[in-house]
Amino acid sequence: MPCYFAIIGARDNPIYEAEFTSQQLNSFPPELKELNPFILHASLDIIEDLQWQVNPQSINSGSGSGGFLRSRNSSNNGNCYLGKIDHFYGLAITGYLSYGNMKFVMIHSSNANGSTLAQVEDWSVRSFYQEVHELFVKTLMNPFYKLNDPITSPVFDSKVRALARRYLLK
Amino acid sequence: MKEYSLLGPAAVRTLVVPIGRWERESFLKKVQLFQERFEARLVDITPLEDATFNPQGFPQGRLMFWFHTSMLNEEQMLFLHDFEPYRKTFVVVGLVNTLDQDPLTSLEALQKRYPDSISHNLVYFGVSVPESKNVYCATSSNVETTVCDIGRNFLEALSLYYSSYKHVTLRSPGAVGGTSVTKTSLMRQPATAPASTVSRVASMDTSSNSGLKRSGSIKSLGLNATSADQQRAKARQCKILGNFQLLAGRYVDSLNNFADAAFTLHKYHDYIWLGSALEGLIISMVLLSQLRVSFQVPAIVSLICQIKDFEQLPHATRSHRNSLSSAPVQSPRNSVSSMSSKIHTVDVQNITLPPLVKALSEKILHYYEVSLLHNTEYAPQVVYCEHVLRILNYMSSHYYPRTPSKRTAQLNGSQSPRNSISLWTQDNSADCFTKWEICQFSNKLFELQLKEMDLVSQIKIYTSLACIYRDIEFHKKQSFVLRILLVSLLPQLESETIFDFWKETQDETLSSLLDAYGIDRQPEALIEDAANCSWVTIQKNILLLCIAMASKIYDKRRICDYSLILLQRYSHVLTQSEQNSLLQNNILPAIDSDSTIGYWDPFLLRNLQIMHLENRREVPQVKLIGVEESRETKQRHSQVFNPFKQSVINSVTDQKRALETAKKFLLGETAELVLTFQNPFKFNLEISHLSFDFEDNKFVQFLKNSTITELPFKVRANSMRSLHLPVKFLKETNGETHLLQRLNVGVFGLKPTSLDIVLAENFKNSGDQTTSRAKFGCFEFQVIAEQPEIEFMSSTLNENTCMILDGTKKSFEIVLRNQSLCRPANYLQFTHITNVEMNLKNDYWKNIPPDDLYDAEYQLKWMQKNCIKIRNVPDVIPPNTSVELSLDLDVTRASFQFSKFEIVLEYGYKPEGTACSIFTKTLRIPFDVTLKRSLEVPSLEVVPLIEHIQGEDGALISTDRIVGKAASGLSEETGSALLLLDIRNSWYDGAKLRVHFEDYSTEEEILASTNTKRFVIPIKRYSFNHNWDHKEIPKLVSGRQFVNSGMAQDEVTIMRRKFWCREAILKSLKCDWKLQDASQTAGSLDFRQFLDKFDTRTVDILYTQRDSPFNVEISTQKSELHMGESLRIYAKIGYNQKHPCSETKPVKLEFLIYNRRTGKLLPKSNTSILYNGQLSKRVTPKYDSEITLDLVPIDNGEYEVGCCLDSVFNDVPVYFRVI
Repeated sequence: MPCYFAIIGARDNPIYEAEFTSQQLNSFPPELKELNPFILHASLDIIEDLQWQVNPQSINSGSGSGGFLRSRNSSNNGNCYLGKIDHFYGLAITGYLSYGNMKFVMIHSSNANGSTLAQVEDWSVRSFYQEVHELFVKTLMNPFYKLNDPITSPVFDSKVRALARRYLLK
Repeated sequence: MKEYSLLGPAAVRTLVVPIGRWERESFLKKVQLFQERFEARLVDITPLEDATFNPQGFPQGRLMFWFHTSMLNEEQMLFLHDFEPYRKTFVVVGLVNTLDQDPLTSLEALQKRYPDSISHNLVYFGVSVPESKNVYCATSSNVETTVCDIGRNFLEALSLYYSSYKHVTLRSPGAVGGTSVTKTSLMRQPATAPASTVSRVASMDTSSNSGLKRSGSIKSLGLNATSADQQRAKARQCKILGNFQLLAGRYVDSLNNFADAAFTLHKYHDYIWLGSALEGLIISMVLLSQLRVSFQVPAIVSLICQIKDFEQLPHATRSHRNSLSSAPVQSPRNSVSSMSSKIHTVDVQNITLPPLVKALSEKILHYYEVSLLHNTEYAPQVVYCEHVLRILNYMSSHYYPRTPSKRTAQLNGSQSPRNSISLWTQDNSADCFTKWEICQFSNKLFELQLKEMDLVSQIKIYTSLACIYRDIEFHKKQSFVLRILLVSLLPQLESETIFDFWKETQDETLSSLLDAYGIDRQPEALIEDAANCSWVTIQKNILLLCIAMASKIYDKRRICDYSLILLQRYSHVLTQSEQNSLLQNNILPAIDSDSTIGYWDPFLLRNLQIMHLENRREVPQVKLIGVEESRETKQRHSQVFNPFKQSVINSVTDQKRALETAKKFLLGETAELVLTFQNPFKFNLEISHLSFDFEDNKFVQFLKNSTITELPFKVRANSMRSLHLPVKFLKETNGETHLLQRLNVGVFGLKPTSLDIVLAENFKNSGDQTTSRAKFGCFEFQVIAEQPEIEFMSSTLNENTCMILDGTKKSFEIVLRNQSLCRPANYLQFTHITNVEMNLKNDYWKNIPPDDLYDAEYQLKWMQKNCIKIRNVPDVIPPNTSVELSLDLDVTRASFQFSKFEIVLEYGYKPEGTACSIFTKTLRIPFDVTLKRSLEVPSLEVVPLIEHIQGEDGALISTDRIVGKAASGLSEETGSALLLLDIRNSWYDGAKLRVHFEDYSTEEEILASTNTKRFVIPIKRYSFNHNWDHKEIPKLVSGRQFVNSGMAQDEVTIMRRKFWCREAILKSLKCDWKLQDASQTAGSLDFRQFLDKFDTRTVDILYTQRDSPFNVEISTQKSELHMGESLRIYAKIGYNQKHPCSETKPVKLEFLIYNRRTGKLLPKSNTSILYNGQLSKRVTPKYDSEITLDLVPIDNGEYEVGCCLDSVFNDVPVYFRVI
């Protein structure tokens, strides 16, 4: 399933954007390509809401429809991974929040072009996020990189894409 | 009241129309008056006869009016009027402010105009009419009463209206509307009736076994079907009654009716009506709890929510939920259902309402979804959406704010309407919804194909959703929804109603959108904004959308504004075609109508300079006169090295680096203005206008027509280009500097804007306090009045070149002319500089020993002072006159490198009075010189002279002169020497010459071309009395500081000795010559250039100074002897009186015998001379004052015997010849 991934800085500016597609899978239709940043931008509201919750786990578990968030696998260090935070028609949106307020957000599309809701495999998506986070921390250690500036390193890009191939485009 | 408030179904839709002559403003004010008093308490309304809607039946109840002024989309929703009767506009109120018409006539007209409404009323403002039924006079204070009266009318009409419904078979909207109804279209698979429900309901309902096959089973089971149909119809009637009672304010009754209807409908699987009935139930419950009327939760609620409530809600509702499950109170309503014994009914105090509302709502949505499988009995999308929105509104009106401040803002904020349910905001947090829950619920809308709905509904849904997001402060979501709305509006804006609607609201919508996506940043002006990056893809997209929307309504101004923003701030993400179309289609057409638009790139002008034209005359420099510069500051501690003195000393020879700060132009001069423009865009830029600021224009102007011919000036896409324009200077700046900082530039015929000169962009660095966006530049210049202009006209030298013999002099003339017609040159300073000086490095003096330095500087000084002289220096050159100057060129002591010189004239006009600075110009006249060698001195030798040579006739030399002088007692006896001087004539002609040494002169000799002659001059040796050892080598340039050369004291002494010896010789030695050619050229020979430094031996001969404490005098009786004769040599050791210490230690004395011809030392055993004893002896000077050496020569020749005492040579050897 094609994915659209972005790292959002503290001022709601994209630090890194990428679209993960593979040849055998469909890519995003053009009109959706244009819409993707908007969907992602809109989901930031939810992340911002979640990140200030005193006890984020409790807010979702009770209610009937929102119970998926962090109710699963929340036992181990998972409080960075926010799980599925939003959806828009057939697209599912997952989020990951670093302690430095960097928001990692991804739009997952289903294979069947939006007619069914995209399924999110929490385990692999979480692993993807965690490894990208690690890459990001390494980028931060670069003395020439300034926080909140776009990441232009081709190495970073290729590594993220490799991670995407491993975890997402299966 | 909000469009989709939860309480919407309980509000009476009332249309307010103006009658008479109303201004829009005042009419809306009156409408607002009504809107603020929308509630009428039933207790205030006069009772009716009809029992159903009698206000006295439930006096706590309220009538809620929803006053609005337009009936948008009313017809399209007609098919829903049976299903949801509250959609109808029941009441029409005409506001009248004139008495033009009889009230009754007006009323009739109103009824005719709005026949569908059931109650028509007239309200007179400002005029008084006799009040009758449906006609009222209102003032601002009694609007409440009027509203109550209108309410009573409505209730009367409602009972009539309801009676017509009593016997109608109620059909579902799908059946009424047919194919035109938009069915709810879910993205996911719609829910089917859950198995548990089916099994449970099946136990109650024998007529069918599943919801899906219900219609089939109805047909097959005739009898049961009929009764089921009847039951269903009855239930539907019951539900409609509930709706009307809700409108009439009788909430308890409506609650019961809805509950009854829901129970039956649930039983018969009439899902769509069931959903609607449950919705009514929710509203009734909410209203009742708002009125603080206690009631019992109907049994159907516990029945429906049993599963979900008890399984999923305990976390959210905590203890309250438990009270529901274990409610001990048994419902008394046994009549309702046979199931009631199993199902608990709960008093409202024991539950928290909001979670229950949400749970019920989810159930309703589920029933709506289940209904979709049916052909006609399905839920239209409008119904589904509106229900979601109502619940969302309910949820958002009391979400759980995180911080107290936000909570109060929510309470007090002007945006929350007065009729929002303020009672609930006092609830504790456990009852409230989180933003997350609200957002999740709102996402249900995004499972629907909203674009299949009609446009008005879409607009309403999207705007309501946006409002909800706004209320819970999800501004990004709000913007996103607005963007979806705009995109869906875009293709349909042709429709007139929508067009008007949009035109009214676009301002607010678009600007809020721009704010939300951060498009209000100003990177072109604020450094903060420029440093922070933002999401340009989104921003560009939104702006393009805005432009498209604006162009749909032909708002040129707005199109232009947005296009400008896009071009100015987002040009880097625009393609060439996008930029072009923005410019050509959006901006340029707007120029004609709006002249205030300026060019959008503030960094257009990247550089501005005024250059001198190539053929310009020299511009004068300021020179200070009259003020004596005391550069030679007194140096108190000459021993202390001062590193800062360096620059001062260097400046003697440093080429003047004129630090020009401001360029100077002459009045009336034409110069070239160079402007550099940048074009960061992907289209060609056209500069259409250029002008100076008003202040600048006084001093400098464009040359006539130059701007016309050069403009429009094109700057290609993505490039920088320079424009060259001639300018003229008009006014003197009076010695001050004028700053040119900005220029008015017009682009594409836009209004010219004053642009700063931007040299470079500033970037935000941490810790940097710069707030300015760019580094601005300026151009400084001065305009000065006309000055004298002196030109070199001619000289008597051919092409300013001459050939001159070394050691001669020459005279020539030059002519100068002041070309100025009005200014005399009355400040004239002549100097000259030769190539010798020009080629010197600044620090030429640093690393050469002092004696060489003296030589070099001696020559330089001479070159400066004597080489070129002007005989008749004028004081003033009047305007337009010529003067002739005579010059002498003297190369008697010029360096051999001398090949050219320049005469430098610094001149200017010195005004009367005591001006301390004037403008000067410099005129340089270059000359080339070829220096030819004439007479040279290839070598000089000094030999000691022992014997006295008598000055007899025919003798080549004589020492009479020296001896005589010694005899006269003028100086002590120092001995004499011979100076052997070779002089060569390198010129083509022979020369007569005479050499002088002090008072001695040789005979006049003739030296043929290329011949060399040796002159022998007897001289006296210099006495020790001169004390040259301690005499410093003089320095010709003072003030320099030398770093210690590292020479030892004795080295310095030797150098001084050599130097002073040479100086003494040079001082005495002179030579004049005269060529034997036609012109009889005469000159003199400068020995200094030819004579090398003296070697130690020469110095030893010339200067009778000994370093040793002893001296040895060697003597013989004979200087000529035959082979085999013996010769005794005496060596007499004496003390040196001048030496400070004389010791008595034994020393080694050694005789050295040389062959005089070869100059070689003879070995100790040889075949030439035999000697007695040893050559070296150990002596004690005190006692052995004389030592003898006997020797016998056995070979003829000339020999020299020297002596060495403690490896110090004696001065004078002895010579003897063996024949």
